[in-house]
Formats: sequence, C-alpha cells, structure tokens
Amino acid sequence: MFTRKMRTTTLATAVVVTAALTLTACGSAGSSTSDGGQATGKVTLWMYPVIKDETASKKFWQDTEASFETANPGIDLTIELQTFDKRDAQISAALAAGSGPDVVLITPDQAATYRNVRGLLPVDKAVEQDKDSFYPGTLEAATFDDEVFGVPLFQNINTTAYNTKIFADAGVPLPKTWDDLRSAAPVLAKKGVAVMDYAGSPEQTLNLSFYPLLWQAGGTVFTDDAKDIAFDSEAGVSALQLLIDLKKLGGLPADATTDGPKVEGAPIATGKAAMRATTSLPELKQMRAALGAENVALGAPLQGKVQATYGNPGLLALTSINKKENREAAYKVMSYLSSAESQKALNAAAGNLPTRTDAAALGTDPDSLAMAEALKTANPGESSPVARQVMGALAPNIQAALRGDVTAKEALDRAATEARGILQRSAS
Amino acid sequence: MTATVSTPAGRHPAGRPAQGPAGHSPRRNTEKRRQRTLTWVLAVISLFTVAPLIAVAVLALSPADAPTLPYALPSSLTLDNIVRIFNVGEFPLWLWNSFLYSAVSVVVVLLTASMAAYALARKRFPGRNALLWAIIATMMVPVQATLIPTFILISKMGGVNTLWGLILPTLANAQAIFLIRQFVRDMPEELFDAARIDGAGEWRTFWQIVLPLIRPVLATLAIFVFLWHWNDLLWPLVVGQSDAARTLTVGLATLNTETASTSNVMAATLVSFIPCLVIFALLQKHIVASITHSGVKG
Amino acid sequence: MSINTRTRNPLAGRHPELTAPQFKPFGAKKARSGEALAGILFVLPTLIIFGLFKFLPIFGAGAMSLTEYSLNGDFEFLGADNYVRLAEDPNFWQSLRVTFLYVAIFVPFIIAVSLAGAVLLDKLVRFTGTFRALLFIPYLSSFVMAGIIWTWIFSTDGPLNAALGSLGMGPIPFTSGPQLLVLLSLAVVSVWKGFGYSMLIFLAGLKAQPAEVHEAARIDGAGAWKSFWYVTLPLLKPVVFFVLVIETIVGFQVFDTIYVMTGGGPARASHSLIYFLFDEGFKFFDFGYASAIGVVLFVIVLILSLIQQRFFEGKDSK
Repeated sequence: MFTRKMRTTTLATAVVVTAALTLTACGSAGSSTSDGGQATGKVTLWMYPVIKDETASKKFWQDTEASFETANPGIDLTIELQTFDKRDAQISAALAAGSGPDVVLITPDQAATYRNVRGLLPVDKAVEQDKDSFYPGTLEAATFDDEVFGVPLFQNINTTAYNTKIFADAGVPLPKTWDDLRSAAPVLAKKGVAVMDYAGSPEQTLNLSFYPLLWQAGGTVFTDDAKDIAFDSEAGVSALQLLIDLKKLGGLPADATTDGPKVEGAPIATGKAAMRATTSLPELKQMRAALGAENVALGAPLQGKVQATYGNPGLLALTSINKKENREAAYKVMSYLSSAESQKALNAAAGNLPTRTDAAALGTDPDSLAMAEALKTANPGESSPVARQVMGALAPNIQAALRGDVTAKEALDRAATEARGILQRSAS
Repeated sequence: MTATVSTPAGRHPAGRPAQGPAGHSPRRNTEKRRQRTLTWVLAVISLFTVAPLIAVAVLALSPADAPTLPYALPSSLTLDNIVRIFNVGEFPLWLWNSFLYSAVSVVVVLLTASMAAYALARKRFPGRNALLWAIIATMMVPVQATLIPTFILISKMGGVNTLWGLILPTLANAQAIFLIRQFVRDMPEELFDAARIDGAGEWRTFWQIVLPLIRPVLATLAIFVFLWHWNDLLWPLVVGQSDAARTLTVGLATLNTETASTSNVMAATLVSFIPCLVIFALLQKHIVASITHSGVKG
Repeated sequence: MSINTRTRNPLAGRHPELTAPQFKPFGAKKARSGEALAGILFVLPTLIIFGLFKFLPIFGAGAMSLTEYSLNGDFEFLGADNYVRLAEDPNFWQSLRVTFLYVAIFVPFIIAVSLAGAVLLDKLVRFTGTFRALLFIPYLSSFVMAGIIWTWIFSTDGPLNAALGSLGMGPIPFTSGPQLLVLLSLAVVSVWKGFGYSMLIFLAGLKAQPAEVHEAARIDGAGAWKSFWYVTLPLLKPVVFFVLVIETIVGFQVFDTIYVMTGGGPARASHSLIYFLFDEGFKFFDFGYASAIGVVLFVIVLILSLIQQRFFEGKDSK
C-alpha cells in the first residue's frame, strides 16, 4: 500500500478527478469513508435481489461498485448478485471450502447461526465511527456476546394490511386488537371469509407468523439471557390459544396450517382472508395489484397486551473466508455501503427503510408513515445461536395444536422440552 | 450390420410382426378397434400430463402482479415477462454455459458409462462385482450429504467459478452405467463370438457391435443426462458463484426477489423448458429407430 | 461382498426356448487375462472419475459423521456420538417412519404407472412420438411448477375438493390431514412428476425385446395378458430390477416434492429423512450430524437394494 507511485500525468489527472468525485460523492456522509489511511485489497461481496427490477438492480450494484472503487482506488471490489433460493446451502458450502465472499448480506437469524459455527468475524471496526448514527435496535440485532457481527444495511418492516372492502361490506370496523379479531371472526366467517391470513408452513420463519403474536402477548421466545426457553409461558399459551380460537371461529383460512408466506394466490389475494398481520411494502404492492389499490390499507401492528411486529435489518457480515490482508478493505466496503448517502440511494431503489437516523428517507405518503410508525414497535427477532433449531422444534407443534391434536399448553410444553434439549446440547 | 435382419417394413411397429399384406380381415378389425381405444386412453392420460404445461404458458404470458391462474383467467396476455428475461445482458452467457454443462456431460457420460457398463457386464476381471456395487452404491448416498466434501475438493483443485469445476464431478453418473449394464448383460453371446471370429479387436467390438445395439438406451440416457444437467440447481449454484460459470437455472433464479410474482417465475420456467422439449423431440426418434436393430436372429 | 452378482452360468437361460443361449465358457487362460486387461482398460476412465468425485467425497462425508464439523474447517472428533444421538432423537425415528411409509406407497405406485404407460405406448401404432412426448412432459417440468399446480389442486378451495363437493363429499385435507393421506398426496405428485423416467426406460426395454418371442407366444395361443405376464415381463426383468432399485433410491431420497408441497408438515407428518438431513445440514449447519443421517440412509437403501438384487438377479445364477 505504500508503493503506489503516480508517475505519469494521466495518472495524476486520474487522481484529481477521483478526489473530486470522492468529495461530491461523499458529501454529507463524508465522515464515514475518510479516515486517513488508504486501505488496499480485494473484496468480494454477495448481494441479493433486494431491488425488484433486475435491470435497475444490476445497474445499481455496478454503479455502487464503480463509485466505491473511485473513492477507494486501492480496493478491488466485486459485487456478485446471488439468488435467495437455497442461499444457505450456497453460503455454507462456500464457507466450508474457504472460497467465496468476504462480505455477504444476511439476516440477524442467519448471523446468529453462522456465528455459532464460526463462519463469521466481528465487524465492530466497521461501525465504530458511526455507532451512534444507527438505530440502536438494528445494531442490537447483530450483536452477540458484545461483539457486532453485521453492519445494518437496510431495514425491512412488516405491519398489518387490511382488505378494507371486506370489512366495509360486512360493517365491521378494522380489527386493531386481539379482541377485535375475535369478535370480527364469526361475522366474516358467515360470509366465507377468514378474518386473518396465517402462514403455518414449517418452511416459514416464525418471525413472520407466531412470534409477533407471542410478543404481542407480552411473551418472549427465550429468557433475557438467552439461556432458557420462555415461550411455554402464559403469554405463549394465550398467543397460541388466539390462533386456535380463530381457527374454531372460522377466522383462519382452511389451509392455514400448511400455507406459505406468499401473497400471490393466497387467501389474502383472492378475497378469502380479510387482513394480513406481517406485511412488507413489496407484499402490500402485490395485494394492491390483486385487490385494487383502493381496497387495501396499512394499519398499525396488532395489539394484544402490547403492540408488536417483526422488522429485521439486512446485515453485511464478514465471513471467515476474508483474509487478513483484505480485512481493512472489507471494513471500508461495509462502512461505505452503510453510509447515510448509500443507504438513501438503496432505500430509494429497493423500497426499504434506512438503519441510520441520519439517512431518514421516509416519504410522507400514508404507507411510509405507517411503516415509520410500525418501526417503533418492531422486534428484530430474538437472537440466539439456536434460534433456527428452536423454530424447527416449535413450528410442527403449533401445527399440531392448530389441527386440534393437542391443546395449546401441551403443544408448547412439548416444544419447550425439545427446545431445552437443543439449548443444552449447544451449551455443552 | 450382419446381426440385424429385420427391416422397418418387416416388423409391425406395435411389436408384432405383420402378417404380410394379406392379413386376416377380422383380426385387422379387432386390431383397428384396439388401436382406437388405445389412442383414446392415451389422449385422456395426456390431458393430465399436458394441462400443467398449458397453465405454465398462460401464467408466463400473464401480466405480473395481476390476477391470473389458477384463481382467474388473465384479462390480457403479454410477452413482457419473457422479453424481460431475454433483455438480461447475461442471458446468452447463461444459456451457453447451460448448453456446455449439459452437452459435454452427455457426450462424456455416454461414452465412459457405456465402456464401463460393457466391461462390467461382459468382461471378467478381478474386483468386477465389488466395483459394480460400489458404483451403484454411490447413488444411495444423498447428494446433500456429499455436497460440502465435493465442493471442498473442487475448491482445492481451483475449480470454483469455472466450467470444468462445474462439469467434472457430474461426469460420475452411476445410473447411466447401471442402466446400460442391464441392457448389455442380456445381449446374445453369438454376436461377440462372431466378432471374435472376424478378428475384431476389443475396441472395434465395442464400437461396432455394442454401441449400435444399445442405441435406444443411449438415446434415452442422453435425454435424461441432458435434462438432469439442464435443470440442475444445487450444484451449479454452489460452484457458479459469478456469471462466468453460471447456468441458466441459477441465472434465472438470481432475477427473482423474495416476493417475485408467479408469472415471472413461470416465464423463467418456460424459457428454460423449451430447450428441454427440443432436445427431447430430437432424441426421441432414436428410441423408435432402434426397432430395426433389435430384431436379432438367434 | 457375499452376494454373488455373477450371472454367467451357461445354463442360466430363463426361457431357453425363447432366448438364445447367452453365454459360453471361455477357453484358454491367455484369453482370460487378455479379457481382464480389456475389462480394466474399459472401466479405467470411470474408475478415475468415480474415485475422485464420488468415492472420495463419500469417504469425506463418512469421516465428517464422526466429528463435530465447523464451517471454518475446525472439527472435533466425536467417535460414534452422532450416531448415538440419532438413536436417541425422536425426530429421527419419526423421519424414518415417514420415509418407510412413503416408500411403501410410492415405489409400487410409480412402477405400476410407468409400466402401464410404457406398455400402452408400445402397443400404439400411430402418433407414438406425439403421445410419448405428451406423457413425458411432467418429467420436463420443474418442481417449483409442480408445487404451484398441485398445491392448488389439493387445496380446500381447489378443483379436486370442488369436484368432491359436487358429489356431496369433502372437503378432504389432502396436504394437511392425517399422515397417510398427506403421504399419499405427496406420492401422487412425485409419481406425476417422475413416471416419465421409468416409462422411457421400460419402453426402451420393451423395444429391445426380440419380436420373434412374442410371435412364438402368440402362435402358442397366449392371450395379451398371458403373453405379457409370461413372456414380456420375464424378459423385462433386468429393466424392472433397474427401475426398482432406482425408484427405491428416489423414494428414500424424497425431498423436492415435500419442499414445495408441505415443508415437512403438518406436525412432521411428512418430515422425511432427507428433509431432516437438509434441516440439520443447511439450516442448522450441523454437518457432522447431517452426515450421520446420510450414512444411516445409505446403509438402509444399500441393504434393501441387495435384497432386491438377490431376488431378481441372484435367482438367475442359482
């Protein structure tokens, strides 16, 4: 990094141009990218199609790559667009073989799991300068044992979406609480409509189905120290009981036990269900397309004992593949991409929310306002190295309870026994 | 081909030798009626097998994010979803990679597998049965269990993100060997005796007697090996980390967001489906052509 | 290997009157060593490819099953711990039960359907190419597509339940009901998607049968059924054996159908062994444990295949 000599005038010009570009590009967010020392190295980043239009997506990441390299001439950044399908198999194989990305976009749930099998390296150095700029929740979601394992790049938020026409036709006010749900269910059931869509497939993360209800009941999945299971509490039972009651009242779609999270073709898109509890902006768009824009509205997250929903940051994580000589460069990439300036551009292109207070790019339209409001009660998911295994133990038991094979209490007790076994094994 | 005596005309395509031009007419009528029933039965079965393809076509041509099958008929049809795929800059590269991945594998697998199958079925050498069963046994190990070790191996060889790294491990195709062996095993020995008397060497016997006789099987296998490679997702996804070594299935998958609409997914399905159909149409003729070769006079 | 796969007994003709005598004993020792050399040369390319890309990774997976394996390559030797854990894991026994039930439904089902398809196509005189292509189309389709279509067909509001409803029955919870029903529904999807494969293999087998044999049977006055049962099927035995072994393997390794249809549910009713393996390996990254599941599955299928082999080929060389 000290041998880079600029001899020719062309190169000198290039440097001047580069410097100019850097200044304009960084602008207000300059602090995050300029810290004296010039990092060098090669960094490969795996990105996913978070921007829906593929032409826009390709262009966005190509431009990002180019502008980053202009700002950091010593670093060779490669951004590869990957696929969501079977992404864990792809990432884990790459990690096991030691050939793959230095930086990869993952969820907090994945971060916990990958860290547990020593696939991730801490990234505190990439965020130390801007620590105060990030929403505390987004950083917490990536923090394990006081170390940060992911730089929050963007934020996904989910909240309640209503088919307002169904409620208006039935003369039922939009349900905002569990009690509202219980009283609306039988009225709509008479018309052959389920009050709420529910995705009970075990392939679906519980963060988007059961856990929000659990949090609304005032419960948690794990105890605060994450050393024990807490979902077999009264709160847990009341959350599962709500689903069982709704099912009995005709308030859940017939195939709720096995349905997946898709909007398209699901009861919510065909007018067979009246509302959807955890809906993201792209899903809202699909609902509007299916049902007519005027018939769909966003609301606040549902309220049980408290209001709660799920909202997860997308994290840039540093993998164990990253070599020491490329470490600084990888930090640079992460801090550059998560800067306020870059986030604004990404939010505009992908329609998601920023993870920093100084990148507030939310619009003033009703949807953005609803999402901003939901952000306040959003839980990023409970971090535990065995969060996924515990979901694997819980989901089938919830299905069993919904089918009426066991009671809510029995289902949660069984799941808790299994989950405690998992915790014990991971601790030993 | 001295061993082949039947001519296409000399054998009834239904598998029964024709009685000559002057067959008994009552029997002909029964046969005619039977054929008609058969055609109807197959037509009904075809409804079940083809309907989904039509559904795919309709879905692929439906505007994205609008109500469509199976819940409603689309109000309009559009080529947007298909055009969108063709417009992706890397599309030709993906297509070419898929083609190489599939075609090279077909050629190499068919050649090496028929050689091995011939030896395993007709040649006596030490360890033959153990080897046969070792090969068959590899099929019983789930690919998911060997994915990581195989990829570590390829990575150590420097094959990540290369076409040879993609292709090499898939050349070990146990099903092909096993299948060909089942057919070579029951070939009449006189064929080989005749070749020996003619003074044909081992290679010539294989090339001029064995291969032509197993043509129907090879054609069938070619279809399958092509399909398996063409539609393969997991292995190409793991090896092809960037566009340089990405196949069509993987490339198309990178276009889909988590909330991709069904019509976009189906357009991708349709685009990668059509080459399969073409290959099938091209190769299936050889399954029929084999009839002329199968009638071996004892 | 204790089971002898050699079938070269010169007296082994199953229907000596129908097939030509197949094998003749060889003479000189010299010829035999030449034969051995040729044999080895012919299998050599395969041996190299398999040695490197099949046997080696399989040993790797076997070794992994004795360890706790981390993604960064660190591992801890555990001995048989993963296997002991499997034996004590109720989820393993559940998956094993699911898999056996599924195989018991799937294998006879797909063999019957594909054999029937092949026989029908074989008998057809005109439009054979067209119908062969039409029947083969599901095999060309993707699992994603099969999942979308069949989830809809089986859903409570789907066409199947609508048809049953008009008969005053149902609705039947095809993919969310009792275990046997769910597994049957899954088997239907797998058979629909997969029968084209075995059908073409059977067809190749039928086309390879000498015409004279059938003619002889007909002259003997055998009806269609009798001639199928006593002539066609025995001659098809090597192919039936192949299909049986392959479809048993496919049945035991069922994953994609479940992945797109039920996700292993409801309440683990369709949580097959490979599903279990995939969860442990690629969801929880417990590769040592996942490899152990793979090894157990391998042993089960191998034993079953050897039994099938003894049944089919062993009898030939009695």
